Amino acid sequence: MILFFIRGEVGSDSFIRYCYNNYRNVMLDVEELPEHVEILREEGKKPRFDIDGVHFNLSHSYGVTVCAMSHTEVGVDIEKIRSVHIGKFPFIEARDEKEFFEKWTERESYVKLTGEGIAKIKCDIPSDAHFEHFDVFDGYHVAVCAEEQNLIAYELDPGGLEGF
Amino acid sequence: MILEKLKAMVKEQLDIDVDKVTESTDIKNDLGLDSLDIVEILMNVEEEWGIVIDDDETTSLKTVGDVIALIEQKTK
Repeated sequence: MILFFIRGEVGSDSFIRYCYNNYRNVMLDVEELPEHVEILREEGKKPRFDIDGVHFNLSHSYGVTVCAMSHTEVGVDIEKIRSVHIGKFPFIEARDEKEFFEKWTERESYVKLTGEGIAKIKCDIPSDAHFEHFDVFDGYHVAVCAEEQNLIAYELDPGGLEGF
Repeated sequence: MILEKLKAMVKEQLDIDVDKVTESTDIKNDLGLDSLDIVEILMNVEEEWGIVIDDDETTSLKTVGDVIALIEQKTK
């Protein structure tokens, strides 16, 4: 799996294509992926590519966008850590904001993996779901939900978005 | 008016510029909110208007207009 981060306002589709281009280059020694892919968006389904074998998920929070891309289905959530009324969310038990955001991003990344979205944010998470957690960019927390696998992360230059 | 009340609520919760918010404003893409903001707003809407938004109803809420329509439907 590769996590691509970018800071600043970006268009979703152009960022996804930019990430795919980078993913394809990284994977060249392992598999040959098509140069161009289409992003399919259907009502009620999570966005996906028109090819098999490459999956992605996008999340953004206060100026940072992350795209997780993998050969398996994936869900990702990034949140800027800020003050929150923990008591308003009885389905999340947390002693402080740090713990709250770890649990929030975990739930959100799971419902984004399944494609069900925030409608299911209060539901129980299966005990065999696998998560990776990261603190990034001084004040943001990320959780990724996917089958256990190797993971690398890149920060992409917004200047490279042109043309995508 | 529901739109004005919603705008005031979003401004108070998130301190963002709401002057340009209209019914066609896309909650996620135009307002730049993350998942926590959206759930918090929906919870505040429930409290403010005394309604319950079912989990399944949240998936169809894309624009401010969608939220207003839901409030109107539930407060008839």
